[in-house]
Amino acid sequence: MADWRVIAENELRLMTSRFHNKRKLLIAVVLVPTAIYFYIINHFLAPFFSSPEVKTMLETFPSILVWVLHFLLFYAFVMAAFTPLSGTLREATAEPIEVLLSTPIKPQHVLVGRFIARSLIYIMGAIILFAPLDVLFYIVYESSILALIVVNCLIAVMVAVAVWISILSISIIMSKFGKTERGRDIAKALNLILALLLFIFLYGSGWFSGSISPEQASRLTRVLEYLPSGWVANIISEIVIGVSPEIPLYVNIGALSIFCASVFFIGYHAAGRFYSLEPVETVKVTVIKENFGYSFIRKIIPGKLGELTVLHFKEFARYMESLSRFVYGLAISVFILYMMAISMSKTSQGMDILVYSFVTVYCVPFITLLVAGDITIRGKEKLWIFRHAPRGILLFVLGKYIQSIIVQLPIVIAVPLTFHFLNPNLPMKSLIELALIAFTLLFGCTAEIIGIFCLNPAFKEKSAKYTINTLIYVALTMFVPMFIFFGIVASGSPPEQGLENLLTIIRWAPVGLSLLLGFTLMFLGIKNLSRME
Amino acid sequence: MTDIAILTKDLTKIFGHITAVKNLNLEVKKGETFGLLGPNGAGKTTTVRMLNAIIKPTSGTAIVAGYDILKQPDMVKRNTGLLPETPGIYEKLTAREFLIFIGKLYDVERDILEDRVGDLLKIFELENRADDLLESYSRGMKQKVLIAAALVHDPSIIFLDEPTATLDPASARMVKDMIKLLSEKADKTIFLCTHILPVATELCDRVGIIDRGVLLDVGTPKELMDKTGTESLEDAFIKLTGRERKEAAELLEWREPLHQ
Ligand SMILES: Nc1ncnc2c1ncn2[C@@H]1O[C@H](COP(=O)(O)OP(=O)(O)O)[C@@H](O)[C@H]1O
Ligand SMILES: [Mg+2]
Repeated sequence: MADWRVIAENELRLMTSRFHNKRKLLIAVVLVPTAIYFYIINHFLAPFFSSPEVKTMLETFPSILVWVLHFLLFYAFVMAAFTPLSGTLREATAEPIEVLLSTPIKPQHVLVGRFIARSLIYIMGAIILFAPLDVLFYIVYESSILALIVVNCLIAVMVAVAVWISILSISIIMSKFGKTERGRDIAKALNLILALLLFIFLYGSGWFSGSISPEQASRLTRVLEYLPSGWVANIISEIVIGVSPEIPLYVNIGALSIFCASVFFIGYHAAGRFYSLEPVETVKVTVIKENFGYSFIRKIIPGKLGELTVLHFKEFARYMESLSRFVYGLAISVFILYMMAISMSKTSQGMDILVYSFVTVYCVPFITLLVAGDITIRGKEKLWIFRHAPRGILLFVLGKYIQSIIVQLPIVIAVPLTFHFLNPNLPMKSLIELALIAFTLLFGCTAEIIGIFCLNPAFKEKSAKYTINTLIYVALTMFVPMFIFFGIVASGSPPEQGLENLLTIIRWAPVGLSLLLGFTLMFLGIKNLSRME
Repeated sequence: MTDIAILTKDLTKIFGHITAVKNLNLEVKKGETFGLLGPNGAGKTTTVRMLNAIIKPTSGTAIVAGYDILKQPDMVKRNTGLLPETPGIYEKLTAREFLIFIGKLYDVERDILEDRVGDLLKIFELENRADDLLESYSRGMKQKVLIAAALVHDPSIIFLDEPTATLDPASARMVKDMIKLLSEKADKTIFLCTHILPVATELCDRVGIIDRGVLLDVGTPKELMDKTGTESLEDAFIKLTGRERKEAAELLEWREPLHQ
């Protein structure tokens, strides 16, 4: 009877498909870094842990290690749960479910096979990554080998539960969304939201844990204690470190066992529901009335151009994916803006506005890429319609341009607002200048991205062309300004016109450049699209 | 042993308020190539899914390869092969890996499996691409791989749901020749769904015409033409489904504004 083993083997194949005809290479790719890693642990980390300073510090403040333990395990739990989920949502293609269902395999076995393969890899990864912890326990706390085995088993169980939850969520989401075009759109949108949460979690926590005080740490530990990763951390800290948490050991062990058992049990029994082709409600979206905004756009942009702008708007607004891209871009921009501005103004007192304009130059292109980079995606067939209409391509491209600019207007507002929030003393004049920089950059960058994609049309998001275009765009919008910036600073231009002028040039040079480049590229792009075979 | 491969008894499937298949009674003989013809949404795919024990009928049942689709779904699956209408494929596997994987799901023994996969790849002229990832295959080549996947456990009945609908003429030719070969040389029972009438005329011994979930008539293409007094299967089809006049009227309605 074919069972989960076939599925697990296949899953491993899929995960390593990049090496499909050179599996031996794969072993090397895994082994070499692992060997280097263990070499580092052995030659640098172990001596460090053995030093008397570390020992005394950990003996005087055992709560530091407890906090680190909680944090690391929580981190591992979140990553093990979200990484596979995010990967599947991004692809969002229905797997060959009908082919699988026409074979005699049981849905439960599909789920279990997939889980075994994934968790195997993740557990191996976790155990390797947590090796320094084992070394620390062995050297500082003189843990027995048995204790270390228990520690690693606990970590393995925790990772396995996280992967199981992830696999279950994947099955639920894909069985709900994977079958229709709209569902796939929603799945991709969900993925971006997930990516955003993960991004904020990763960078936020990294930044946060660097500047945390001991009291804050212990307060957070108390929160994390109520999560599965916290139970594992509690057990480890009690049996290895010798610090007893408030929650007694047996409660931790009990909670962990009950949680694992019930998650596995429920998932296993619900699996049959996910893998089936029984009725799905087809989501039908009827558009009753046109939005007021559209008639407004038609009024201010008359004629065919207004019509095309509205068309692009509808396409944008009716794809969940593009909407979530927008939210994603906006949130990350503000976040980066905030983080970069804080860390940079610490080191450059009195140059606030320069720092802010520098940061702006790096944030605007990012969201532009997310909002306007899809001009040719889902568009190969459409392009012929516009090619046929008089001046169709010109109108198509300009319509997209205008639509992207309008969509991005909130950033122009978000940029000065963020800076104002950061630094309430900033004069109005500077805020307006920053808003202007952001606004002009929008014009330039949007033209650049649209131009690039029209010059080298990519019709699929996962194509080499798409990646190349994105790289070119990033190089033009992010690296070129950096060279200008530092070029001007390094050349130390004649100070006779005053420092003030120099700073203005530094602020505006990248903006001017992006306008120039952008419109040139867009012009050439329109030419190219109209000529393309 | 009877010589009947598929026998349906009042097979019915209702999705919410749509009756996709209604009281279907059908008989397909062993070794025959049977075509189920019908416009889009007629209920062909739903029928095939029920006959492969992928979804359960709302009422009625069927005997496929001697097994009841409700009582012995696994045995039905082991004795049938299916090419789904919109199949997914593991893009990140090679053709060989994919076929071996599917074969294992049907418990084909390891040594038999490798040989059989090798043979299938040879027959379908995929040998020299067999170890490339499927993502680099053309639409027609993927279709070949999927048909091979439906054959890997050597089933006696093969269901092909719109096998040529999305293919270019050359690939369609290849697939049609393949189907002929299967029915003539390998003596398989073939159940083919299509809305492309020339395909049915060319390949099928007998056809059934289905529309809005109801089976309208069954017979050899010639019988159907004689019965309706028409010259081609296409005309017979139009007459049976009663679609002709309505569609002509719609066409005229659409043209009118142009002449004003
Ligand atoms: N999973 C489903 N959920 C709801 N309705 C469905 C489902 N599958 C098919 N239908 C409906 O059943 C009818 C028959 O569909 P189908 O069997 O796919 O037709 P065909 O294959 O002949 O084109 C259609 O009206 C279709 O909308
Ligand atoms: Mg169909």
